[in-house]
Amino acid sequence: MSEIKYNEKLIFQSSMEGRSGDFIPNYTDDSLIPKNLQRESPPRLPSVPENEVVRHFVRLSRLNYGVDTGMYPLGSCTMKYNPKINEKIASESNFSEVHPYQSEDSMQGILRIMYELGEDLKEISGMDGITLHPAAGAHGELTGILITRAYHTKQGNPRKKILVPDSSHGTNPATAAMCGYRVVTIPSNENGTIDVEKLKKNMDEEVAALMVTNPNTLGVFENEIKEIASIVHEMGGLLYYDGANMNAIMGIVRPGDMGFDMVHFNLHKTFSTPHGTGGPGAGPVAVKEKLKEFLPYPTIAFKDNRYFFDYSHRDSSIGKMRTFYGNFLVLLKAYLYIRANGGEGLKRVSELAVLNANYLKKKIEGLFDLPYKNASMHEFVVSATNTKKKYGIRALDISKRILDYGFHAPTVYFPLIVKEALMIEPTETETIENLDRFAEVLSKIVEEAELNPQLLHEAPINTPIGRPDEVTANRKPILSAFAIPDKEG
Amino acid sequence: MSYFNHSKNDIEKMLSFLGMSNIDELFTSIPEEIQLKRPLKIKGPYPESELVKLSEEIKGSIKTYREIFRGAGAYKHFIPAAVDEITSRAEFYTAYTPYQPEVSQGSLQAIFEYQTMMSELTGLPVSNASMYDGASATAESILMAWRHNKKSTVLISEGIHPEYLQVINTYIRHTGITVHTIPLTRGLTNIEGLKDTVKDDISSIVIQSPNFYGNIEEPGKVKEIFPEASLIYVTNEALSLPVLKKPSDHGADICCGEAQSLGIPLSAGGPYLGFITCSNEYLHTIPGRLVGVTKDSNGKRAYTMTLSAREQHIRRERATSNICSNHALMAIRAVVYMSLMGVTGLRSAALLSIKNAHRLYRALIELKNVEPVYPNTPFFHEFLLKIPLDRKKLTERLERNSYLGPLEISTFPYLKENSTIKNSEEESLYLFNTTELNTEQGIDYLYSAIKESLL
Repeated sequence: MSEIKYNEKLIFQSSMEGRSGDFIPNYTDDSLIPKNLQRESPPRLPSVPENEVVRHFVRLSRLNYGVDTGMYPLGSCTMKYNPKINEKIASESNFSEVHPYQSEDSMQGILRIMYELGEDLKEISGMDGITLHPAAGAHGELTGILITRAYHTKQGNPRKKILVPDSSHGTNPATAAMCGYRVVTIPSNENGTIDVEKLKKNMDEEVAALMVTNPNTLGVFENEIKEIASIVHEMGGLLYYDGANMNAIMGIVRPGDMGFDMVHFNLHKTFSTPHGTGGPGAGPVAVKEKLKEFLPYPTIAFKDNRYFFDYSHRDSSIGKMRTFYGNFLVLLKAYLYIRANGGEGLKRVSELAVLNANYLKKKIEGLFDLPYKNASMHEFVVSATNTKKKYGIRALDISKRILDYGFHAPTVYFPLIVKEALMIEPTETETIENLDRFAEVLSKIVEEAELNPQLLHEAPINTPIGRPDEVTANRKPILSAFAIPDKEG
Repeated sequence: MSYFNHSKNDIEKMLSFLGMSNIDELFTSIPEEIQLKRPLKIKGPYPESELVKLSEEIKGSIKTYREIFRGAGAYKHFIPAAVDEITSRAEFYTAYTPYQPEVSQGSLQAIFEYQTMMSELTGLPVSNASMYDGASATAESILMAWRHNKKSTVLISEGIHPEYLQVINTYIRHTGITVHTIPLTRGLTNIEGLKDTVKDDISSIVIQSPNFYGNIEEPGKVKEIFPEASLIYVTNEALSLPVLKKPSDHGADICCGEAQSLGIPLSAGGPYLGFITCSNEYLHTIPGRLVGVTKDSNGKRAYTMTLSAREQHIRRERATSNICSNHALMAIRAVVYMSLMGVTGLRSAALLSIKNAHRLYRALIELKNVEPVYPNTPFFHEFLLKIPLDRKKLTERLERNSYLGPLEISTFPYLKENSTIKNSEEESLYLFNTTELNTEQGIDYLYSAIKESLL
C-alpha cells in the first residue's frame, strides 16, 4: 500500500468539449419527443477520451485495498479469497445477456443453478424452503422478519416485540423496526453469550422472534442454544438465525438442528462472492416447513424434468422484495463455489477458518485485554483498554497503524458490548505465514504504543491519505463535485 | 478445488501450538447432540476444469438472443468494453464497504463521482451510493417521504411497473401507510381526476416516467394540486434522464428507480442498480451510504462516508433503513459507463432507442387489426399494441432466427394488483421495446413475423 500517494483529480476536471469516444453512432435528432417534455439543458457530465477514463479509474483503483491486495481480517465480514474462475464464468454472455422476462424454457440453465443452489443451502442450514431474492444480508433479515410477521398474523396475533442480544448487528434492530416491531435488547452474561435467565424474563407471548447470530459477534458459540430455542418456542415465538457467521459451522452444526426456524445467508461472506466495495451481495433466506407458504414469490421448483417459477403460494406470500428473482450473477458464483468445495470441502473450510482464528488469537492474546475467555470459533474480539489506559492508544489508533504495515484493519468498536474492541476474522484463506506476520505487526504496534505513542496518533502515514476530518464532512456535507467551493477546486 | 493452502504439516503445527491433537477439539463448545453426524449431501468437490465443464453443460440450456424487443424494466443497451475492464479490477471488486477511508479512496472517489452524475441527471443535489434495485429504491423513497412529513397516505400511479407496486406493498405493509392507486387515462396518470381528493394526509405521490407502458408523464402537474406532498419521480430507464425534462424541473422532491441501463448487463434480473436522489430537505431521511468531501490530517482533499448517524450500525432501531451492503460495484459500473459515453453518447443511445421504437410502432399500426392502445400519447422507447396473433406461430418464427419478441401481457404474472390492464383485454396486448442495439433488419424481421402471424 505504501508509496502510492497522489492526488487524483475529479473526472469532471479532465473534461474537454468534444472528446468523448464514439461507442455507438452519434445521433442527435430529438424531434420524436415533444419539446415541452424535453430537458432544457444537458447534464454536466464529463467529456473524456477512453484512455483517460481508463487511466483515471485505474489510478483510483490503486488507492484501494482489497482481498487480492492482502490479508483483510475485518471481523464479521468474512473477507475470504474470491475465486477467479467464478468471476470468469459469471461474465460470460450466456449468463449476462439473459433477459429476466424470457420464457422458462429458454432459461432452464438459469433456473437449474438457482434450484440446485437453493437445495444446497437448505442442506447446509437444515431448512425446508428457500428464497434467493434478497440482495444483501439486511435484505434477507427484512424478508425473514416480514415472514415472521405473516406467520404470527396467521396465528391471530402479529405480536409486538423482537428480541435481540446486545451483541447483535445493527441491522437486526433496524430490520425489526422496519417491520413495525419494538426492539428489546437482551444483555449478555459474563461469557458473552445470551443470558438465559434474562431471556426468560423478557420472553412472553408478545415476542414475535429472537434474532441470534451463532457463533455470535464475539466469535463465541451460543452453547445454550437448545434451551434458548425451547424458551422461545414455548411462548410461540420464532428463532431467527443471522447467517453472518456461518463460515464457522458448515458441515459441523446446522441452524435447523439448533432449533432455528429461519436463516439468512450472506453469500458474499461465507460463499466467497466478492464484496464489490459495498455490494452487490446476496442474502437468501431458508425456512422451516411451517414458514414456506410465506416466502416471496416466485420460488424455483423442479418437476417432470423441468425447472419452473412457482407462484402457487402467492396468496399467502409476504409479497415481492425486489424485481425479478435475485442477484443471479452473485448466486451463480456461490453455486460454483459450493460445487468446487463439495460437502466435505465446505466442512474443511469451516474447520480451517476456526483453526486460523484460534491460532491467531493465541499468538496475540497476550498483547491486549481479552474480554471473554471462552473458546473462539472463526473470529475473536480483543480489547485495547490496556493500551488506552497505559499509553492513551485507542483501538482506532491501532487499526490505523495496521494499515501502515500493509494489512487491512480489523473491525473496530464492534460489538458494542466490548470497549475498544478489535474484532479479528482471518478466514481460512490465509496461510500460517500471513497469520504470523499479522501477529508480529500487532506486537510491534503495541511496542510502538509504549515507545512512540505520537506515531500511532498520527497513523496512518504510509497510506494515500491521512485520517480524514469526518467532523467537517458531517457538519458541512458536500455530496457532489459541483457543490465543492470554487477555491478548493 | 479448494481455496485454502494448509498443508498437513501446517495443520499439525497449528494444532500443537494450540495444545490440541485433533481439529475436532476446536468445536467442543458446540454441544455434541446438535452436531451433524454425517457428511453434507452436496455434490463436489470439482476441480476447476470440471467447474468449467459443468458451466458449459448448463449453458447448453440457456438461450440468449441476437436481438431483443422486450424491456419492461430491464433493457439491453450497449456497454463499452472498458466498463468490464475497470470493474474487473480486484482493487474494486474484492474490497469491502469503505470503512477505512485511508485505504479506500478509490472506491470513495468513484462513488462521489457517481453521486455527482446522478445529481446532474436528476437535478437533485443529494444522491446516495446506491440501492439494491429500482423497486426497493422506490419503496424506500416512500418511507423517506413518510419520515419527512409524517403523513400516511401514498398515491401511486397505475403506470408504475407492476413489480414495483408489489414491492412497495411488501415494504410498507406494517408502517400504517395506506396506498391508493391513481388510474391512467390515455396511458397517462389521471392527475386532473385527483382535484377533489382530500389533501390533508397525503405523504407522497409516486409517478413513473416513462411509465410501464412507455408513455412520458408530466408529474409536475401534481405539484400544482398537492404542493404540500412529496413528489416522487420514478424511472426504470435511467437513459431517459439525459433527454426528458429533469425530475427537478417537474418539482420532484425525490427521484428514484433503476439505473441498470447505465452499463449493467441484463444478467437474468440482477444485480442491478437502484438509485435515490433528493432535495436537501430530505438529506437526513435518505437511506444508505453517502460519500462526502473533506480534508485529511495533512490538509489534503479526501473522501469519506458521511452522515452515518442515519445508519443502522450507529443508530440501530432508529436508523433511516436497515440497508448496509448496497450495490456499490454497480454504481462504479455506472460512473465508468457515463464517463466513457459522455452526454453525447448517453443522448445518442436514448435517441436511437426512441427512433427505433417509433419506426417499429409506425410500421405495425399500419397493419390491419393492429391497434395502438394509447394513440397520440407521446412515448419513449416502449409502447403497447393490441394485436390478434397466432402466438405460437409468432414465437416459432422469432425463435428460429433468435429474436426475443415483445412481452405478452397475458403471460405476465405481475399484473394482478394493477387494475389498468383488465383480464378481458389481456389476451392480445404486447409491450414492445427497442434500444440502440436493435437493427433495421431486426425491426423488419419482427414486422414481417407479426404480419404473417396475424389472425
